[in-house]
Amino acid sequence: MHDAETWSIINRWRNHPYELMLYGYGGLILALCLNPFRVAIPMILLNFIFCTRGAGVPAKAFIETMLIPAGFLLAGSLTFLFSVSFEGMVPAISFASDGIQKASEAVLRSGAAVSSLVFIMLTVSVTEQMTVMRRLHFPELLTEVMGLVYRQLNIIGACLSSMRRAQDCRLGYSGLKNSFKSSAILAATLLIRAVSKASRMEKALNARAFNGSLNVLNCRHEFSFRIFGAILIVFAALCAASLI
Amino acid sequence: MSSKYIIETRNLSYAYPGSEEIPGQRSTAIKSINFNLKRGIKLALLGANGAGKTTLMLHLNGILRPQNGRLLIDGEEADYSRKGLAKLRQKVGMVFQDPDDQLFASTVFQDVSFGPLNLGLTEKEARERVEEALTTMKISELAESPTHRLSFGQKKRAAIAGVLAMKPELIVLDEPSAGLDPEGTEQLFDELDKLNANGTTIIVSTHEVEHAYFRTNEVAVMSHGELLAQGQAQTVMGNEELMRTASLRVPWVLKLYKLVSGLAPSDERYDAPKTQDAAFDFFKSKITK
Ligand SMILES: Nc1ncnc2c1ncn2[C@@H]1O[C@H](COP(=O)(O)OP(=O)(O)O)[C@@H](O)[C@H]1O
Ligand SMILES: [Mg+2]
Repeated sequence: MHDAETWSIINRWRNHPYELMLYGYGGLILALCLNPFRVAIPMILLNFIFCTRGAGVPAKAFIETMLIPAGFLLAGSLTFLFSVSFEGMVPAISFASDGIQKASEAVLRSGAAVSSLVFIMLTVSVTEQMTVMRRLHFPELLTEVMGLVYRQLNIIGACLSSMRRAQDCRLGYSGLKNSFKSSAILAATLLIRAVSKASRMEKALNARAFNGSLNVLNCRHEFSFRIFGAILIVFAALCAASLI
Repeated sequence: MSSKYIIETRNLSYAYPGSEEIPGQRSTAIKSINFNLKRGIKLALLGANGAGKTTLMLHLNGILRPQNGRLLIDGEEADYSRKGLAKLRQKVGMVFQDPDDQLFASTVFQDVSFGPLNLGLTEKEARERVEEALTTMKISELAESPTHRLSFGQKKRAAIAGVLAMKPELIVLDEPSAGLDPEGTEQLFDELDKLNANGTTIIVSTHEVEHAYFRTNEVAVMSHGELLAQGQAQTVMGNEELMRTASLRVPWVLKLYKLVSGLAPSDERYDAPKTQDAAFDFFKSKITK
């Protein structure tokens, strides 16, 4: 998570948030609409290549960020492989006949969609995304809530890792019993900690005359018609591959 | 600018909600504070942990509102309306003890631009303010760095730059030296001296008595929520009983001065050296005699 954020800030294409967001979110929509058997693999490959070769994000960062949702995805699709029937006295579990087809469709479609999201995560920082949304006149409330939720997630994440480390140092995770106990305490304390940290941050924002909107100056944006054209061509090719 | 004081408090008290129910915590964080800050000086707010330094500082730009007593800005009653607060926060900048509480944006440049934009400056003006503040804090090369990747000292400088960019008349720094190495602390105080020379009034809270003694013009001592004394560093910090009550140490230079001169702070011939160079010369002349 932390690493993804770093790359989104320092990648080579950081001056092009408009094009990157068009490509990422456009790709997301195409991934959901088009035939996954034709476009999913090429899309994942394109996202990977643009992210690594183009924006200069290391392949490791891309793969690691993909792996987290991929785990959920695979686990979720396994359920397609089986069907449960309640006809007899005992519920019977059997292989679903169209299970493989459905499972692979789900995996491919969501895999492509997730790779587009990962692409955005690694190339456009959240602050830049907020600026773009503001410029494009998205509702202010939506943009601010997005920024706050993201900050809050970061705060919770930071609290979580420092508290876990502190417990670990005092052998809180040695043995199963200790682990369960430590996890329970962690869960109970996390929210309180995160809220108090958030309230300190709010004080600090107020001290700099916070007026309800997290406005900042970004690095200078560039807009390249060449990149824009290239994106349209890629999208057209994907549509064609799916429809023909 | 009619008043000689940029900030005054009158019988200021504050209790954090619910503190009376927590065993071991005193019920009021600060009690009846009468504190005056002359324009243009550099003041150290001294006190042990929990003395109430942070709580008092949070009142100075309207983050906390006094539950009892008053806050005067330039001799006038503080205005807690939205507009009044915006004005107060432009006038008084606050640098928090933990820079992680303050830095919220992705890059240093973005973060420092937050305050100037809130003041309603144009993008161009804000950009100039940011660049100026980064130069003053000597972190121009970090402008595009992700804030979460900075070292502690760099974060601290970025947090200060974020406040400088708003060009406040008074900068309040909560324990600016906490967590910094000795060299980082010296450099930080050098930057503060420069700002002060350009007319910015400065308050730093600290429990490091040597820094307070050598690097500020005036000190105020807090203990258990009360302001015990305010005045010249030599007299206030030379008062052993007062310092003991506040759980603070008398600076070495004052202990030695007392030993060598045999004078108490109440004596009118008492004239302890105020800078490190002066102290060095003074003791050198005594030793060579
Ligand atoms: N957020 C808070 N909620 C409740 N009590 C607090 C809070 N912050 C500080 N206090 C209490 O207020 C008193 C003064 O604390 P503080 O102003 O932080 O002292 P200092 O900055 O000198 O260390 C302490 O007794 C402390 O326990
Ligand atoms: Mg404090």
